[in-house]
Amino acid sequence: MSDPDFESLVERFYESLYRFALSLARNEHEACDLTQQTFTIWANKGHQLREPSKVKSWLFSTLHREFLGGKRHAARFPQQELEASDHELPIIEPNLVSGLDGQAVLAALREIEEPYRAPLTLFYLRDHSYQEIAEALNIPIGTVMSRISRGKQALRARFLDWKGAIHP
Amino acid sequence: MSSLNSQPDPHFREGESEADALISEKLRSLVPPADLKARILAARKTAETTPQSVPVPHFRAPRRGRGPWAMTLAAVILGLALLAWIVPLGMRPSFITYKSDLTDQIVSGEITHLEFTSSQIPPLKEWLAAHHAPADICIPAGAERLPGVGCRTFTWKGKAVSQVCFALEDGKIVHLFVIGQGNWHSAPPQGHPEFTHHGEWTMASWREAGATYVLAGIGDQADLEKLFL
Repeated sequence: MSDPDFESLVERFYESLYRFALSLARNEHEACDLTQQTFTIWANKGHQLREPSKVKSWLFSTLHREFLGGKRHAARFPQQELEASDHELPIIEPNLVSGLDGQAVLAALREIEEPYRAPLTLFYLRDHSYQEIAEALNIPIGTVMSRISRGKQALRARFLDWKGAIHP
Repeated sequence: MSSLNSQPDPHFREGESEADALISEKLRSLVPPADLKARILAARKTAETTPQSVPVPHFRAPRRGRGPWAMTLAAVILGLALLAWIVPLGMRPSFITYKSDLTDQIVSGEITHLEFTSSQIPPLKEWLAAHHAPADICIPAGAERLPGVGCRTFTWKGKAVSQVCFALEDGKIVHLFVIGQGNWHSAPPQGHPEFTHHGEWTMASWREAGATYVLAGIGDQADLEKLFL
């Protein structure tokens, strides 16, 4: 069966969805299954989407929901929003990152609590505006920015730990 | 595709944007497995032809005024069931009963209620192992080449049964049931399948390495035999 629309959608988004899934899942297998499951749900329910411009948000939102459904993370990670004073950000110095490869960055992301990891990963995938991240994760845009801030803070701490371990 | 560059980022600070770009670059260097796209497209084909889940029939609620009768009937049934358990104690379980119970599950549609889905066999085996069901499964050669659909587990007389489902090219699904029991009354043959028919379904049964296998699919014996080649 040939379905150019479906194939072009897969072609356009599967790599980015897979990277997002990788940051959420425990391993490649799980990331592949999440990506595949997302497109299966699209094949069955995608026609219900009224606004074609929202396809990207729909796909990422579905993948995230599938992940949360599978892990029931919502119960394990109660929502914690930041206070206004928490917006003060530390700077991630380039030298903390330059020596790392993709797997190391992924490992660092995976150590961040899920509520901060998902928006931060979407931020770093650079395919989404803040508004699109908000739509994909179904949270207000202010919360997206807060969580990215907190996520960056945690990521920097992780990089510093590693640097400390290598150069005590 | 839109980019974050199109939107001012109040959290970018001096020195930080460079680090963010580096992190993005490294994250985007991760590539999916070479066959992922093909698997997604293949899974869609399978999904289109996968039978819809058939709900298990619900028992009717007892009507008013029949409570005592219903309770008496339930007590009799429970007594008979207990008798059926007690009498054969010390005897080998009947493979015919086991296969009959599998047939009931097939007819009721219960076998379509999968608990975990994946097209890959290793994650299915991992899931089964994590749920204390038989996972060290010897899959027939032909079936092993098929994409997986999913799996579930249930118990039969206290023993865990694994069910793994595979998708055929024509979209039909075959179901492999594995129970860690080899000592039966009327046991199936060791090492090679024995075929039986139940309506439109064909079942192949055999024993291997202390476990008993039943492969069930819609079609005739020839269709199922191909999965052993």
